[in-house]
Amino acid sequence: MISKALIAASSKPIILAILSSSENYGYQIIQKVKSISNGSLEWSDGMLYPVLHRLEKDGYIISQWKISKEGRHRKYYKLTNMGKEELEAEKRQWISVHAALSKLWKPLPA
Amino acid sequence: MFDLKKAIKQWQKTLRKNEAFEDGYIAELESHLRDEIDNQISLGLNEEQAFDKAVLIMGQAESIGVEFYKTHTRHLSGRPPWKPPRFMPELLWNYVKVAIRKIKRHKGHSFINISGLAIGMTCCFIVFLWVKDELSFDRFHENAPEIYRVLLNPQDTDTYHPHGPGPLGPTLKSDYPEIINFARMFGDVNGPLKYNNEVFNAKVCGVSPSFFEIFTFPFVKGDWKNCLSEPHSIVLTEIMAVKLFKDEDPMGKTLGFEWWGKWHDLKVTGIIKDVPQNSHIQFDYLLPFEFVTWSGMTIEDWGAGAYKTYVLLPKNSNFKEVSEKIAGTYKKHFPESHITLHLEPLTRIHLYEFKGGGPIAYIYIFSIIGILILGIACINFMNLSTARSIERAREVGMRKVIGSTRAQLIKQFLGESILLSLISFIFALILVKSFLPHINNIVGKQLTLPYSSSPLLIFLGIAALTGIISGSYPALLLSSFRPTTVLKGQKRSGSQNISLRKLLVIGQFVVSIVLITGAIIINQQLMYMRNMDMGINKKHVINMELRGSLRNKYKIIKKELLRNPDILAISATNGSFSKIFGSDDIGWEGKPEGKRIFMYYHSVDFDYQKIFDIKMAQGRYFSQDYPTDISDGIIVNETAAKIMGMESPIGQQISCWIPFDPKRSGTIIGVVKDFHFRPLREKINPMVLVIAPGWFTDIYIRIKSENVPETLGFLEKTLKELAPDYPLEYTFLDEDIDSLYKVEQRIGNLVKYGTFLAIFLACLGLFGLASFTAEMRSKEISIRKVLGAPVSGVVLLLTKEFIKWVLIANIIALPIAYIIMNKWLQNFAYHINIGLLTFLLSTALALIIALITVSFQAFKTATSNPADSLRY
Repeated sequence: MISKALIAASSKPIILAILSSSENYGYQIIQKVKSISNGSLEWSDGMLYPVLHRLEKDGYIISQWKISKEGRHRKYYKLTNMGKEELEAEKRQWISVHAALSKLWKPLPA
Repeated sequence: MFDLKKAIKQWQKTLRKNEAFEDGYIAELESHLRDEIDNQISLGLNEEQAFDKAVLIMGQAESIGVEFYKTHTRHLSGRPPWKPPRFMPELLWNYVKVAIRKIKRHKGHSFINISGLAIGMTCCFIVFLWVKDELSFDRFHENAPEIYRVLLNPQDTDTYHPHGPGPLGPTLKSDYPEIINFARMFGDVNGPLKYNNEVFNAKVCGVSPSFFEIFTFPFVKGDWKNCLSEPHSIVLTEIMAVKLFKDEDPMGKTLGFEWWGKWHDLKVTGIIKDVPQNSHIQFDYLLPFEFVTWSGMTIEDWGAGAYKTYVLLPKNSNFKEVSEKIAGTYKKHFPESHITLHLEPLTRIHLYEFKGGGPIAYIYIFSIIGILILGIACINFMNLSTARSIERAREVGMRKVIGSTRAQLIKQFLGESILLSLISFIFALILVKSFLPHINNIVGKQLTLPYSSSPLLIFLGIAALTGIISGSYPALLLSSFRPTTVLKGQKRSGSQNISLRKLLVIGQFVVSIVLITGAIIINQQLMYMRNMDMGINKKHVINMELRGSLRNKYKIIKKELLRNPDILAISATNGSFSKIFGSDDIGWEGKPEGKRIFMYYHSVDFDYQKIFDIKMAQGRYFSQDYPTDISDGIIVNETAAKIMGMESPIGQQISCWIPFDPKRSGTIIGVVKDFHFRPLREKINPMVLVIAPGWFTDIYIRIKSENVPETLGFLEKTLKELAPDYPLEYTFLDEDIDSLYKVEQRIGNLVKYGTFLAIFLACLGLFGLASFTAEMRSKEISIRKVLGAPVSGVVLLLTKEFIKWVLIANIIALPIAYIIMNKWLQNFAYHINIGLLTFLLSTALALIIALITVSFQAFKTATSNPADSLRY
């Protein structure tokens, strides 16, 4: 289990990273999150949307309604330039945190 | 059949109820839900299961909504605008304004509420102070939870007393490791002190030095370890030291102490703080325990003694176990005795009094009465507020229309009632302050309103709680009004709550009637005891103690006093009617083997019969014509003769133990008719009368009914001449006997006050309710009058209902009163029987009071001019 606070903090880089490869809609994003984390990141599905809206409001992503092949309305999200910059910034932050933690937890060389 | 389309529509609806969801959001969520359902179906679920699962995975609408809202709001608190803010300062002022306006506009209503709550709280507070004082008894000792008193229980009796032999304490300590310390105590008894030829009566206790190790009596001067190690040392309380020595320093001074007619010189070795009033051990000064031997009493003998033994157990020990262990100690060391020992916790001594009733019963009774009276006041508040709910219905409607929630309205109304109860609280404190001296007079205590924070905080808590309780029902009711109904004016009166109000009024009157009946019965019992024929003539008999040198001069005193023709007879005795005579196992020929039968024994003089007008059943009274009467004569009462089963008791031999005259036996020369020599709580006990001059402690004097002041003057003058150093103290026997029932009189008085208050409050409530009903029905009554209804008819119409309630209350209350009072009367061996008349009296009383209260208002309405209320 991953704590609520960590899930909240990590949701932004994860979503931005997923959208960086291609535009996508909510349901798919959730499925990707589930598959890459092997289920250890447990999101309540509905909670994704307020996060997406927040990112859109902050200008990192833009959305567009489209109609799928099956005739279903879907709202697709796409990364903006600002979003790309934000993703890089997030990456740097997480990597530095990761490096610090790895140093601490790596067994000391003999 | 499950319809997916419908189910999704329904789901959308629930989302729409939440104001955070815009239509776009719901569409997005819906597409997600459909994807998930497709996914679930592909995994093998049917439509219904898939739908349920998808909804579950989606999560709770409420929390999603909150997140959506947070994303889009600019509010810092994140509280959605459709929810009212938690706190609106503007409204608070409005609430206060409305509350004060209501209090001002409805002066009568507010008066009833505030005065009622204030009186109820006053009762509660006074009871609280009293109970707190009773419960504080003996708890000021640092070791209080570990101190126990040894009680003695003679075989074949259910009496427990603390008077034991001298060796008991030391033996308990050496025999049982659980007992880590003990203290022996003799007294309290009267022991006059003399300094500079001034004599003061005072109470003395003889204690062993360990007394100060066990009990906490702080020293002002001197040292507790050594102060009583010298045989002729004395420790004074501060008040006694001031009395004796005024401004001098008492330490090291010598004073005189009189014990059984002899003066002894004592040296002051310590001064201690005055004994707190809430201590069961009371004394004015302390002597070394050994002083009792100066009069020939023994402290080494297992067979005799009247010494209290206190023991100290280790912390947290199980005293019941220890008590069982020591139970047989007395018998082990003194096989002739038939006494088992018990331990009694120090803190229970005052409350339970030898395992008997004690104040604990009254603590319960008065706590209940206090709470009930406050309850009556709360009921008044609820009744009047709900009855007047119509007046506030429009306010509630308007507030709701403007956007107030029910929770806010409840808070507002509760706040109002708490405000009222806090106003009452201030009045209650003033009332407590002004009534306490009076209450202290009745209960014989020194209760004060504490200025320390903790009891006041408790009182404040009680006040707030009162406000919440009495305000809760009106608040719930008022806040439930629907704006559409009340603003249309359909809610005509609070009449739909009539049944609850009825119940509350009946409840009030049940309490009042139980109290009325109780007060009447207590009063009847007191009258009965005062007027009962006790078998003696108690009028014009004077009692005084034989103190100091008086004891040795009894014969001279008697001779001198009898010179006055107004003094008819004088007799010495061992103890008065308010004191216990000794009692012991009595032996006679033909007594069943191994049985122990206790009888009171009473030392009297030749004139005893003449003084009390005691009648003889058989034989004769003691007479100076028979010199053997002093050494051999014994008189028994009828009960004793009956217990001994003697057909012709005269001439029979019996044996009994008498102090200073061990192993006395004698011949019965007469049988007196039974007379009461103990409080009427007890049955007439068997009694043996003997002449034992060594044991005289009191004298009784019968005087003529005329010239009483002159006779008393003569008495005073003569005694002053004979025993100049003693201030004369005397009492009248009839007053003494009355004082035996002091506790009952106090209780009677308190119940009377409680009754008065309960009735007053109930009537206040009834009055308020009646005037409201009359107001509500003023148009109806006016029309009736216009159509020709007579005043009497209208009054009847308005009072009928209330009278019915009071009658129902009677039916409920009387059995309750009967059960409670019958139980109380069982405390008395001689008591009245609760008669039908008592019940009729209290019923009539309750009815009349209620009738007067209600009809006053009814009459006012019935005689008013119908045009006034019909005009608009």
